[in-house]
Amino acid sequence: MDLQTIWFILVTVLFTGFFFLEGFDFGVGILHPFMSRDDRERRTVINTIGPFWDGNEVWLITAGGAMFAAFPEWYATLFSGFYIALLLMLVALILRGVAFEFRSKHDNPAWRAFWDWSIFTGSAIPALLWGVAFANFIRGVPIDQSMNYAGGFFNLLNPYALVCGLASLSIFTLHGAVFLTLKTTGSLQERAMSLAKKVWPPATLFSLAFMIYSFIETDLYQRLGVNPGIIPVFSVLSLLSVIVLLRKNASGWALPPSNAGTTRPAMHRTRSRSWHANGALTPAGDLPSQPRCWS
Amino acid sequence: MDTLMLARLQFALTSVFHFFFVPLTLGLSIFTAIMETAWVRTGEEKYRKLTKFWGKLFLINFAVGVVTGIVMEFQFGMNWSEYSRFVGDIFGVPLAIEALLAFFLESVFLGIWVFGWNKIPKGLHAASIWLVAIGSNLSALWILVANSFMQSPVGYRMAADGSRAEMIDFSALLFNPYVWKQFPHVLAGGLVTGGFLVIAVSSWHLVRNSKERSEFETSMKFGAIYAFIGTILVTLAGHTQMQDLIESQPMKVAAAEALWETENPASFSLFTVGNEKELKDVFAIRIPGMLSFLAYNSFEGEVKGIKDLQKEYEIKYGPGNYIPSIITAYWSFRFMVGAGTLMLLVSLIALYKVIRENYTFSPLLGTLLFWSFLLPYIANSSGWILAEMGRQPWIVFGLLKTEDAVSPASVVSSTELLISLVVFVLIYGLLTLVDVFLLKKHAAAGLVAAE
Repeated sequence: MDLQTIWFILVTVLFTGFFFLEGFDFGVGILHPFMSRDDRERRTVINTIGPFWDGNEVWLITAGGAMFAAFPEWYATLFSGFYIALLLMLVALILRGVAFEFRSKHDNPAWRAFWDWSIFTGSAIPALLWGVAFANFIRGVPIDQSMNYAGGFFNLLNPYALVCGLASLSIFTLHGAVFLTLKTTGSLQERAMSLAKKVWPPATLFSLAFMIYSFIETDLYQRLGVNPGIIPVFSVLSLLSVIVLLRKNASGWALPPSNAGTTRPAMHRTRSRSWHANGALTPAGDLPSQPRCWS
Repeated sequence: MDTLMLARLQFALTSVFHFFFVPLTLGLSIFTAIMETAWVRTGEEKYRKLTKFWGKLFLINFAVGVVTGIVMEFQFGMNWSEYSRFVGDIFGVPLAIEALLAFFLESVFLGIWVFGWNKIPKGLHAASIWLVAIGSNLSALWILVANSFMQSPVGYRMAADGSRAEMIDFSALLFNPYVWKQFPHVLAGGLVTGGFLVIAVSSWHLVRNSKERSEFETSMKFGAIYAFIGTILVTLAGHTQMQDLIESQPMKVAAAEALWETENPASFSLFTVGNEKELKDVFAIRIPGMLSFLAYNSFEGEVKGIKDLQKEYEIKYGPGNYIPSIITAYWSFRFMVGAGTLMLLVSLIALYKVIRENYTFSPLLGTLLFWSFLLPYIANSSGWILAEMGRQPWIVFGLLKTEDAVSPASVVSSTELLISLVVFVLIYGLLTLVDVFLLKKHAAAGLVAAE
């Protein structure tokens, strides 16, 4: 295996870890307004991710750094090209990050409401946007001779990417709900359970839609050489098992499959990207030096 | 405004703002760890209370440091894509290591520390805040390894087509002499920032004669010693860095001194009003030989002037303007050194009071001790402005000019840059208001409220 591929796998592992871990804290962030009836409950819910969210986010920072180091062209093209989307992502991550720290530091209903709202939107926006971004990787985006992105912001919001965005949003939410069933007790746990059951159908539906859409919109499965491939099959089975396990009240067993659900898009992407890595990246460095359009 | 100006403005804003929070994180994490160690060692209740108190202020500050740091990492790719393509092979590596070795350590043990009170043994709990402090300070090392490559590139070769720099020697990058001049300077800057905040808050409580007098006397004692040690270290580190700069970036020194002509012995400017266009003094008071002394520890020795360096660089790098904004370099240097001198003075006064065990402060002295917490902020910010602005027109010294590093306007338009600039101004403005409000509130509320 050459160095390119090793680094590529590393970046993939980092992104997978990020989705796996930050997935549930995005989910908890999205669900907390619907989970809790009063401030005390809200604090309990937020505290379930309190010790973890910062460490989880480091996976993203590490992934970004690894990308920058190993694939500067990929990093540069992506970050300058997806400009407004990333700006939105940054705003969301900033407000969400400080909100965890700030909300409890002042006792005032409007203050708390503002930071709770920040946690909700700050979790929902990235949950959606990561799906959109990665779907665009798989689908391909226009890139000109000098490796610059040549589409606009709205080019990124194509129906295929939006389906993937909704899939990641709903899977992260499901993931958060399952996590909460493990971390809470009593009536909070019951509510988490019922939310998990409510979120499960759309999460499964969007994921299936995304997989079928990938079949139509991209040459992903053909490129993988396996049709339909073990990963989509595995993730569908995982998602199906979540509801079965939830029904049986065995949420401890449901967390790993819902995890598998969250990481599925990432793994999916891994395979598509390892194709890019093996098939399209030049040995010398990054993206191909020939003009090329990923679509 | 063109994209270059907007991108530079945004970098200046976001990096200076980020660095409002970083030094306090560096300094206050160690201070909190010292307090907790004292608690574990002595078992005295006051140290536990102080640990909680300073820990709370540390956390409020830490959160803003983290989120503004993510902006920095994204910004290189967003606004400086050509730069990223050029240096990614080198610059990205310390960034990735920073996250891997430092941020994971910091975040994991911070989680344990915050949520582990009364749940894990005291010794382990204290060890976790030490690991947070080590993680924070290690992260400074790695980001400075990256920055030092921009200041004084080593361990690289140019790609065959000249389009980018490739790393050939990682250890050269890590043991870049520039790193080991700059890292102690930044580290000591963190100690000073933490120390002066401790002095400010403690003296504020002591002047008001709060019920927690004896605890704040203890904290004043530690703070004064801490700030004094920090100030001495930061001065020494700054001095050695200056001596290194004479070799690595003489233009930065010449600009910081408004030294138009090469001099031997070289004079130090006390006050200069210069004419930047014609490269000459309008009015100047200079101390003869003093710059030579600062540079070589001897009243003799040549320091190159701006005009000669410009000629030298034209021969070396081709026609162009190699002179940074002199007014910026000159005044940022003076603000840094001026603030440093005042810090030395204030920390001496604080140390004197502490040694005499006299904790009653006149209102005037109280006011002075309180507001001096701003001095390290002035020094930190102006120091970085000097480091970055004094390197212009280069983004990577001698290799890549700033104007060639910005994202192409066809990809990132000036409208997009303007939007993001406005967004950051608004959000950072909000963060400042909230952060100051919370720090003030919790600093004033005292120890009981921090439980």
